[in-house]
Amino acid sequence: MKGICSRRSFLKVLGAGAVGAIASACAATPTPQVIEKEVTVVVQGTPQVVKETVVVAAGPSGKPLLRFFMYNFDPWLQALPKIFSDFEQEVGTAEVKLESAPWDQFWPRFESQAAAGIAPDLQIGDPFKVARYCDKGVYLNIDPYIERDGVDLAQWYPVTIEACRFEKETGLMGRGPVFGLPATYVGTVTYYNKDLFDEAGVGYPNEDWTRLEFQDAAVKLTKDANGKRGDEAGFDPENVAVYGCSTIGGYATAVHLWNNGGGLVSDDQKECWIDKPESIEIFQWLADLIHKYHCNPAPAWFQGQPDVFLTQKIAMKLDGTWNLDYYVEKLTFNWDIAVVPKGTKGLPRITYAGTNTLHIFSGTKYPDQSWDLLKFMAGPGGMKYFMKTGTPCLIAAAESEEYLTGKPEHRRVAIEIGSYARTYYPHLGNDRWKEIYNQEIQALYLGEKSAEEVCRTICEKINPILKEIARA
Amino acid sequence: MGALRAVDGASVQPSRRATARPYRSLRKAITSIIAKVIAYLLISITAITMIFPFYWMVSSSLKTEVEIFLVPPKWLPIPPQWNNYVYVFQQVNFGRYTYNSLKLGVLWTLGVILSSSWAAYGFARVRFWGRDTLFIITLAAMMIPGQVTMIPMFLLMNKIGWVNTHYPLWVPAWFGSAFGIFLMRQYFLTIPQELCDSAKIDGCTHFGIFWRIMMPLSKPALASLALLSFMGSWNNLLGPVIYLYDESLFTLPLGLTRFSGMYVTYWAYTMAGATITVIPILIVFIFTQQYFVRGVVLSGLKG
Amino acid sequence: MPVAGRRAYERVSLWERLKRSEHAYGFAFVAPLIFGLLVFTYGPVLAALGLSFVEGDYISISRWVGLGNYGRAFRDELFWRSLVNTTYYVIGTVPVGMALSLALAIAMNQELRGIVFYRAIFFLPTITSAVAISLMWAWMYNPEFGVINSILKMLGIKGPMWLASPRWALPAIMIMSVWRGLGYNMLLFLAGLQGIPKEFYEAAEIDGAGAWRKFLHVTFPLLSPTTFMIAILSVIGGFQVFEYSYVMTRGGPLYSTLTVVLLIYQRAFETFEMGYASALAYILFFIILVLTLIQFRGQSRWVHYEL
Repeated sequence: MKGICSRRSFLKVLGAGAVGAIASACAATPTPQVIEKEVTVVVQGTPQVVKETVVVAAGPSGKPLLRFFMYNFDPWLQALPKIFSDFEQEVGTAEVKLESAPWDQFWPRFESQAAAGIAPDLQIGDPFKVARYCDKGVYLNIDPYIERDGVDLAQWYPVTIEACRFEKETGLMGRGPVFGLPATYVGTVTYYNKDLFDEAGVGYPNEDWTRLEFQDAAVKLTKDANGKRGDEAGFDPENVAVYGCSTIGGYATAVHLWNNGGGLVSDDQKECWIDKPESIEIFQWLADLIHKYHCNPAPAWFQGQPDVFLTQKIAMKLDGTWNLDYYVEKLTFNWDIAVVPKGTKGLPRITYAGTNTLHIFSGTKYPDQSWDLLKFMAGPGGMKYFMKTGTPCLIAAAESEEYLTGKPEHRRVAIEIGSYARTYYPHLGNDRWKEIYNQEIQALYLGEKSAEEVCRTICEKINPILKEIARA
Repeated sequence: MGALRAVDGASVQPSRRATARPYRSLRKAITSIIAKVIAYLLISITAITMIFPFYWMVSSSLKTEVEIFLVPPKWLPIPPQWNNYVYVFQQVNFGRYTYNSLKLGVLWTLGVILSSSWAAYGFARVRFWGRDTLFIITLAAMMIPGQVTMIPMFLLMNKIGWVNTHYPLWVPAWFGSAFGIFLMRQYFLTIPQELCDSAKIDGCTHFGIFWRIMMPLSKPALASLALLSFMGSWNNLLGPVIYLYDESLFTLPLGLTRFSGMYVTYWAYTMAGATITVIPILIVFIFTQQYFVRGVVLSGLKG
Repeated sequence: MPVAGRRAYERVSLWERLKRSEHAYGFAFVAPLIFGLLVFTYGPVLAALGLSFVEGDYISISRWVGLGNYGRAFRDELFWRSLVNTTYYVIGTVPVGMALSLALAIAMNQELRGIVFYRAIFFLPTITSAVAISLMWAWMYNPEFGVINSILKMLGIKGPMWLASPRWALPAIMIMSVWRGLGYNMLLFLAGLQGIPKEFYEAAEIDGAGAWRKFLHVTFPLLSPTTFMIAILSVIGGFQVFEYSYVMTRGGPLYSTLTVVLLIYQRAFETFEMGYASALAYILFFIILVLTLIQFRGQSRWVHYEL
């Protein structure tokens, strides 16, 4: 395909760029059964186009050359070449080339490539976009391979395998065929600054903490410019030097909701739960942390400070473990992680986990070799390196001495998430209602409206959308 | 023409001017001094606000991750963390990326300058059928947000076989850029028609007029177009991301994005990368801006 | 000549006619442009037009909806909101930005000491990395310890919440955008100023015109082609503003910085409704086109081309 194209196809492009693009977009999506064939080309478009794009990519050794697509992130960009070189030596069915793009442009680029049928053979997925590409037939259904090789899915944390499943009929994730394998996962934990806790004489977070104890600690940890604590007389809420906590935002909010028996929408994604009493209670509590207890900064305060934990402006926060290795490297004070606080209703603890999943492009010319690589990466061979970029999804790798030694002290907390976490509203169409929720909820944190009022408005707007996106 | 009339209009009060002269010149001197002081003051204040972010970027690139966001801010990066730069240079194939960026910048800029002024001459100085409609059609291309034409554009480039090559990033420039055409057309339109007419009488064709008269007279416009085009190509991130897969084809800004991720950004490295990226443009700016101080190009041509 | 045959005469005349034909010259000058437009520009533009009539994207299309996407846009509360925001943005930034950059260009056109240095400084924001700039402004706008509110506090004014306030977020972005665009437009004005012959100023000075009169009667009319172009380009660019709200506020708080192109981006790449995004893009296109045509109609009133 490289070089000058034939005159006919050139004229076709010239005269009917629009028609061509639409025609190719109209064509049937690739079916997942392709793996029965040795070499299969599944590209959108007419058969001629398929013939044109057959180019045997081969590495220097003459073996198939697989392309792996990753967003720019330094630790991964350093780990992946090592995994690939191990794969080439230990398995050796193909060679692998790494391609990368910055996060902001990653999806536009992948979208373009998928539309042109020239996406890389394998790529890293995003928890919120997996459903879309499974639905569009862009990711390969790997159930047949799992069956063929007798792969035991129980060797990975269940929540991370759920992140690879998609059911087309309902548009829901977590069930249905498997479309990839997990690499690393991140979950919501409580990060805390031990030095600030010691200074305030507050005990460290523990297993039994509920959100009210969390709140008490946060108030005591809050300190104004004159050194007055949040529970002392004369505390000046206008001039806070250190805030006790930061616990408002996407996942943290959801974690509090779930632990209180509430949620944003129902698990089948058909009903808005934001105006359930259990949810309203939490939203009001979060607003109170800002406006009544003054222990959690208002959203405005965060502007221009990408990481306030790093600069010791907050004593603890609910945040994802994606920061773990960065903090081990950069933090200069004593810190640790703990589980998220429980609810007050005696429900079992629950937290959020998101998974970095790996997928095969359904249009790959080398499905067999791609599967070899996928299996290698999600197995012990890849996890050896992935454990340096995050929490490995392979239970054996996460439980290993190698992963668990090192800072912070309670590193185990990060891997235990795997047994009680859930994912964040995995559904094909959830971006549509989340956008509304994210905007409208700001009225609450700005102190403009009460929780009840805001929650009702949101549900009024979200319910019709939930109806529209529901499939079965 | 309007301007000439206006200047003439200003000259119909000779008597008042003559009587007020001694008093006026003193007042004029004082006002001009005050005006100058105010001008320098305003310029300086604005200059400080302009230079501040740049300073912030450079100083951040020499701080540790924690120091960057301290409140109150740490104004001076002491001790400077030169290691940030060392690390960036180690991780990034700097020479290769710079070469690619320069190559694309030069090809793009040359293309824009030549093709745009060529087409602009047609719009400014030749009367032909459909001219004004074509001009609007050209401009209209700028009015469609790129977000929706990006994917079809990619499909097209893929059909031509240009994906993973540098071609999509410079060839289109050689067929004219709407911005460049507009800029040059406006400038050509201000060049006196008499110059062209006399050249025509001397036997010059349109091509001759374009090359021998219009282009030399348009140096300031060409210089600013060159600078802005080069800058556009140099800072273009989306294009290289979409079209380039092989690391050996990467441009400098693209290569330097690896330090900011989805959740975690290494600010010090990012700022070091941003600083490295700006320096070549600054050099180009200082080089081209001499064309803006050359003085008035038309002096002596029209009496 | 007198004995030339009929055919020979015709051949010569055809060539001569071609050589003299303005149309032929015109097409010679615009031929590369027409080729480029057909190949690189209008193919994708038409593809987007086609997609605006369907539900789906470039990977696969679910169904033909005709004008359904356009109808949906007119019922879409967010679209109207974004259109109001964008219009507000354009009205607020274009005239102010142009006036300031013109003033700056005139100042920078003086033969003053160190002018090169100053010019470089004013151009700095245009070339400094957008990430660095957004982050720094977010920090300056921080209501508690940001530079801006600290200064206001010294003056005894309680500053607003800026980017966190539904009322002030868009003005905050507008201020930043004017600031950043100054150098760019200054450069364009500067090029235009260089084209004004000194003789006109000398003539005006002999006639005793002061600085203001010189500006009004020499600079402004002679610069009008440049001003006109910057106005057109600023309106086109202003209606497509996207980057600042995308990076700094994601359209919030409460949709107060949601612009049309940000909405288009969200529909295209976040909720993946490319068909709808294309329809929105075409509505925006139509609005910009009409405004541009109106400006072209109006130019005869104030734009002076030939000297």
